[in-house]
Amino acid sequence: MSGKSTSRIMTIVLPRWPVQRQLLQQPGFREFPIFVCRQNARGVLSVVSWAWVMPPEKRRGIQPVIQPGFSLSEALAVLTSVYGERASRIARILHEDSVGDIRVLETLGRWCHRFSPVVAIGPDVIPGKVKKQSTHSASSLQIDVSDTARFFGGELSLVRMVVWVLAARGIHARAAIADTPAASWAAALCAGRIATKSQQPSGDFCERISRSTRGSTCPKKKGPRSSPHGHWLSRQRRWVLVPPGQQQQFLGSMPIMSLRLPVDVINSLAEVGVELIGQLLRLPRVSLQERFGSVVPLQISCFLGDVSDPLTPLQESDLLGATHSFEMPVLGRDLDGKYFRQLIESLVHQCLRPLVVTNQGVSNLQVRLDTNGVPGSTVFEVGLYKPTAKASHLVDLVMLRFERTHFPREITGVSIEVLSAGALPCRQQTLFRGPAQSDMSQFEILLNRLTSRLGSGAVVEPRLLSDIQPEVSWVAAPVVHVMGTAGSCRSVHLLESKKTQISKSVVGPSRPTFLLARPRLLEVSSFGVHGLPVRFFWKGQIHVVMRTRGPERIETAWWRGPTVRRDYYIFETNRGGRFWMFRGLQKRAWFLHGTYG
Amino acid sequence: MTKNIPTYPLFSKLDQAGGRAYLQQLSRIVSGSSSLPKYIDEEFRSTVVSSGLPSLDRLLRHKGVRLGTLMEWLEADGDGVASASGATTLALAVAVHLQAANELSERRPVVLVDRARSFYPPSIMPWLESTQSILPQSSSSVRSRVSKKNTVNSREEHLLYIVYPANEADEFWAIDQLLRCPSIAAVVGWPARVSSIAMRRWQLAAKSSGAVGLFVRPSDARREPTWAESRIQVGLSHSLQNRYQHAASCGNIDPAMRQPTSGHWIHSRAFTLMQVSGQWDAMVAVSEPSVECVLDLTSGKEHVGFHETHMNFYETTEQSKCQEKVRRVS
Repeated sequence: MSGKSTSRIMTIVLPRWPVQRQLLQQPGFREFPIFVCRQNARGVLSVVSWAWVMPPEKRRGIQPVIQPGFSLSEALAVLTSVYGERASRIARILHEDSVGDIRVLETLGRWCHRFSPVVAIGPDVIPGKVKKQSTHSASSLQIDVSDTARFFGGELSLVRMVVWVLAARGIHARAAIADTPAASWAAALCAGRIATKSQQPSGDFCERISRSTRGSTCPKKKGPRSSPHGHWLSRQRRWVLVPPGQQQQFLGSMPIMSLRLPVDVINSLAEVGVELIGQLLRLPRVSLQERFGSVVPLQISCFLGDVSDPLTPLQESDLLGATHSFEMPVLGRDLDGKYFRQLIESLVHQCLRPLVVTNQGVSNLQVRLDTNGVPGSTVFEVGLYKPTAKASHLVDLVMLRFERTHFPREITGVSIEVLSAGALPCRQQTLFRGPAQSDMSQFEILLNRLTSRLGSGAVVEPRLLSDIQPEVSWVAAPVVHVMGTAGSCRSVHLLESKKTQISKSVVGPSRPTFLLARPRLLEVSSFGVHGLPVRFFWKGQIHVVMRTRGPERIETAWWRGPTVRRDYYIFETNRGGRFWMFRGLQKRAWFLHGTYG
Repeated sequence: MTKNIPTYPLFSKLDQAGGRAYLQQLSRIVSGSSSLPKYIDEEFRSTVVSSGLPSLDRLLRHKGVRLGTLMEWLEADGDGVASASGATTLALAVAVHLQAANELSERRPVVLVDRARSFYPPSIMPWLESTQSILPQSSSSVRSRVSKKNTVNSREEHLLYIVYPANEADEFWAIDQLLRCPSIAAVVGWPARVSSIAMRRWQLAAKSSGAVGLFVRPSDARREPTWAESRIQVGLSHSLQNRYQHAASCGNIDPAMRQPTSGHWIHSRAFTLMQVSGQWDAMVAVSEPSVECVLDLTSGKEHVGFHETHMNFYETTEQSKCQEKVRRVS
C-alpha cells in the first residue's frame, strides 16, 4: 500500500559534491582535472570524486570512465589514455575533506530555509557492511515543502526555481519532489535516467512522465547526453515531480541502487535478476527479510511511506540576516565611507540582537552588495577565529574587507547574513583583570583582522603530514577553520592524528629552512667522485662544495600517482651556505630544492 | 642680598657624576630607542631577556634581547630570502626561545610573515617541542593541558603561525598589526626594502606591546638607516672560513675530501656574529665586535664549548689522511 503520507518532500542532490565544493572555493581549478582522493591505511589514494570542466568543443568522443573507488594511478592512466599525458600532468589532486563538505552543505541548507523551515541533510551514506567500500558522503538536502510549495507557484515552479537559482550560483543540482524522503531521493538521483527514458519514442513510461510532469520539460530541448565523464553540466533533466501516491508506479523502473541498499544486497539481488525497484516491490517482504534481514523491508517501507521517516532539521534554523535597500541605486564610487560604516553597523546590530539573548556570537558572516539586475553582485564572507557578539569588531572586519573589495558600479542594497553562530566562550570573571585574559582576546582580534584583510588562507598554522615527499609533508591549516566552531575536516583530522603523524614525518636539521616551490635545475660546472657536483652556479655566484652529506633516497610508491625518485644531498659551500639538492634518478640531472637559510 | 641664579636641570646634571648616564638616556631618546623620559634604566633591565644564545647575549648591548624592540639579521652574501647563510636559522632560534622566555604569559606564539611562501616548517618543528618541556608549569597551563585530552581545539597546540601576504603593502600592514599585539612573542619577517618610516612604525608598535621583531634582510640593507636596536651580520665562522680558504688555496683538493658522509656535521652550524651599525648609529661603528657561535640545529640552542669538535670536519679515517695531505701541501 502506498501513498499513506500526505507530506511532500523535495530532495536536492548535488552530484560530485566534493569536487563542486572545491571549485566553488577555488574557481581557478576549473581549468584542470580535479581528483578528490582518500588515503587508505596502506597509503593508497583512491578517487572519491573527480571532474574536469571543459568546453564541449574540447571533449573527445570517448569519455574516460573513472568510477569512485578507483585508485589514483588507475584514474590517471585512464585519463592519460583519453586526453594524453598532459592531462594527468596538470591534474589537481586534493585530499577528501568530508567535514568541510558537510559544513558548506549546511550553509547551503540554511540558505534553503527560504523555501521551508524544515531542511535536513540527506542521508547519503549507504548503510550496512559496505561502509569501507562506500565512496559516498552527504551530498543532498531534503526539504519539507508540504505547505510551502504553493507560495512559490506550485511544486513544479518551486523545483524548477531551486535548480535554476542554484545553477546561477555555480552549483549544479538535481531536484525532485515526492511523498517520502526515500522516494524523493531516488527520483532526484535518477532524474537524468528518467529524462533518458522519456526521450524514448513510445511506451507507457513516457506517457506517465509527460502526464505527471504536466508538460515540464528540460530547459534545453536537446536530447540528453550520456555522460560518464565529469561534465555535470550535461543537458539532462534536472528536476522530477512524482505525483502524490504514485511513487511505486512512477519509480518502478529505477534501479534498486536508488533505494540506498547495501552494495552486497544489491549484488545478491542482481544475481537473481532483480535490478529494478518494481521487481523488488513484487517480491514478498517476508522472504526478503529472511534472506537479507530487516534492511531491505525497512527501506521499502520508507520508500512507500508505510513507516514514518522523519527529517532531522538542521540546527540553528533561524537564518539571521538584515537587509537595507536603497530607494535609488547608489553609485559604488560615490558611497560615503562614514555613511556606509553606519549602515553596516546598523545591519550588524540587527543580526546580533537575537543572538545575544541566547549568549551566542557570530562566527561566520556573509555580506552582499546587491546590484541592479546586473550579474556579479559582490559577495564575501568574514570568518572569525571564535564567535563574537562585539558589533564594533564585526564592523571593523567588514570594513577591512571593503578596503580591498571592488565595488560594483551601482548598488541597490546591502544585506548581511549570519552563516554560522556559536556559543560565546565563558570566562571566569576575576576581581582584577589579568594580563593573560586580555591578551587572549587581543590575539583573537588580531587573527580576525588578519584573516579579514588577507583572506582565511593567508593566516595558517603548519601541521605535519605523514608523507615522505617534501612538498606534501606538511599542510598549512587555516587558523579560522582550526579554531572556529565549524572546523575544517582536514584540520581536525590532522589534529586528531597529530601524534602518529609527527612520528612518521622527517623533521629537524636534515630538512631545509626554505623549500623552493619547484626544484630548479642547477648548472653544475664540475663534478667530483660519484658524480657529485664540485662547483655550481646559483644566483650569479660560483659555489664550491666543501662538505657533502647523503644520499637520502626519497621514492614514492607507484600507486600514489606520478612517481618521485630522488637522491637528496646536503652540500656546504665555501661561503658557508648549505643547500639541499637532489639528483633525479630518472633524468640524472641536479636540482636545487631548498636552502638552509 | 644675593640672588640664586637658576640653572637648567640638564646643565646641573651634566656637572654631576650622573651626567654620563643622563646623556646616554638622551641619546636613546634621540635615536628613537626610547621616546619617553620615564623609561629609566631599571625598567630596561627588567625587560631584557636572554636570546637563548649566550654568545649573542654577550654581543648585544643590553646583554640580551630587550622586549619591545626590533632586531635585524643581515645575510652574509646578500642572497635575499632564500639565502643559505643561516641568518634565518639564528633568527628563528631566538624567536622560539623568546616565546618561552617571557614568564608573564604561558606561551606566546611566534608568527612568521612569509611573503615568498618558501618557509619550510618541518625544519624547526623539533625546536617548538623542546621549548614546551622547559616552560613553567603554571596552574592554568596544567589545566589547559588536562582539558586538551577532551578537545582538539586547544591553544596549547598553536605555537607557530605563518602569515602569507600577497604584496608588499599587505606585508608591512601585517607586520605592523602583529607587532602591536601583546600576546605575540616574536614576529619574524623577510622584508627586502623597508623605508625608515615603516621601520619607525614597527618600532613604536613593538614598543607598545613588548613583542620583538626579528627581520632577516640582505646585506645591502647595511647601508640603510635603521630603527632596530641591534643589527647582526651573520657570516661563516672564522675558523671554518680559514680552513676553507686554506683548502681552496691548495689548488687540487683530493676528491675524497668531498665524499659524501653520513656524519653529524649537519646537526650543528658555526657562525660569526658581528654587530654592525646603521647609518644613524655612529657610536657602534667605531668598533664592530664579533663572536663565534655554534648552533645546535636539533634543539635550536647554542653548543657551548663545542668549537673544537665542530671544526674537525674530516670525519672518517680516509678523510683524516686527506687532511694531513692538505697540511703537508700547506
